Amino acid sequence: MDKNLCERLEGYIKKRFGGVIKILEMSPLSGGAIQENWAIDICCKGGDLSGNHKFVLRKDALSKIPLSHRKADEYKILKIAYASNVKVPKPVLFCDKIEIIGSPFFLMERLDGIAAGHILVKRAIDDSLIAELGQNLARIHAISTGHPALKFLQKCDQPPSLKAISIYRDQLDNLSEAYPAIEWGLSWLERNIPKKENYVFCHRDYRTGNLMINDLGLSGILDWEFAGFSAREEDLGWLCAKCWRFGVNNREVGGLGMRESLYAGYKSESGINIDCDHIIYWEIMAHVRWAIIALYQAQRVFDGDRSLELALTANIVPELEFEILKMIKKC
Amino acid sequence: MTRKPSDAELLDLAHETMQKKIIPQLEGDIRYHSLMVAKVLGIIKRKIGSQEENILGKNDDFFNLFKSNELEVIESQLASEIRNGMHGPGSSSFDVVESYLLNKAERKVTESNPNYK
Repeated sequence: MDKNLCERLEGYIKKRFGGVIKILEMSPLSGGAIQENWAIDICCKGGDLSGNHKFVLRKDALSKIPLSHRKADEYKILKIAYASNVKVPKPVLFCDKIEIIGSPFFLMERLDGIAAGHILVKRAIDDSLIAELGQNLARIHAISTGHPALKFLQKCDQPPSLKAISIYRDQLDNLSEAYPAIEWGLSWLERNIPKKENYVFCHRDYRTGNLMINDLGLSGILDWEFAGFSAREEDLGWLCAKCWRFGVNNREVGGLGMRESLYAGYKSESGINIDCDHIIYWEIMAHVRWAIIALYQAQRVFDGDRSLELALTANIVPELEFEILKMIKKC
Repeated sequence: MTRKPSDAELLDLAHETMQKKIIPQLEGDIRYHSLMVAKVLGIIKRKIGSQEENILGKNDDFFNLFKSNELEVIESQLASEIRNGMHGPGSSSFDVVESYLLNKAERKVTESNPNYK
């Protein structure tokens, strides 16, 4: 642990909550390719936080990818989700003072469970957990798009699918190489725009890997950095897309379970019937989006993040292109 | 007749040494990082082994659609044409372009992740 950093952090927490604050343990958490997450164990004597706590400190990594929220905005979203009875870690505090740890950060409760996809997909998962994923997603989608704290999110006057296509084409234009297979996917998506789409508040990264699961079920939904307004089918398609099944392709909901349970859970909370064809459309979009994110993540090695893991992310692009082409051929 | 190992054979040997002799001895983060290094060696090994020119050269119907012989130029032109509505369903080039893209994607997957299902 960096002693000076710990002292500054203890001082800041004390200023916010009072009492005597002692950081017992602080260590980096794995799994955050875009963000940097730290596990922090804290002992507080007196003040509003009195007791022992297990927190996560979340800050920006060295470089960002497009459309990722600032920490201040992600914290606002986390607070709204928590207040809306969505299973998320309890938000604790946000700090925008650079001098404390070098960048803005927030603290949230550290949840019990496992999020790692390659571990979860090997486990027996009860249908009730898949239904719970549907219920929580419906709760997220019920958050009002007019919520005053969400004013920073971009509203738009065109269908969500058309907006997504436009954004992804812009992002492709900023890459040095051409990707005709991804363009093929975008052209198909443009020719097949769904007839009816409504904007709702979406998580936009709701998938295995961002879902903390323990023996009791879903313990919390993580990583809200991409949340924004889109079609509800985008979240459902992202969760069901083959690229997020971690190789367990017969369990179509993120390698964990079956679609029927997800859709039933979603309906039980929202009363809305899911149109399966509409989800397939967004699954193709999911492969396009993930391919572009992967290309941008790999570029971060040129921006200072000398990580082999990041560089290798672009290695999955051929698989995503192959899936896009196969899915379109099947439609 | 003796000869020294080629670059591809050296890479193959390095990959095999990583996988069989080094990684089994490792644990935790260092094992994870070593697996990634082995993965990179595997990808480059397969890329060196693939015969890109032969595979692409056989697809005359596709390459006849373009004036250039340079793959990078062709790919850039193709991407732009697809975006502008060319090669869509009903066009005479649809099947040729679709087939080229599928074959290329499949070949790339074989190089990058031969175990992909």
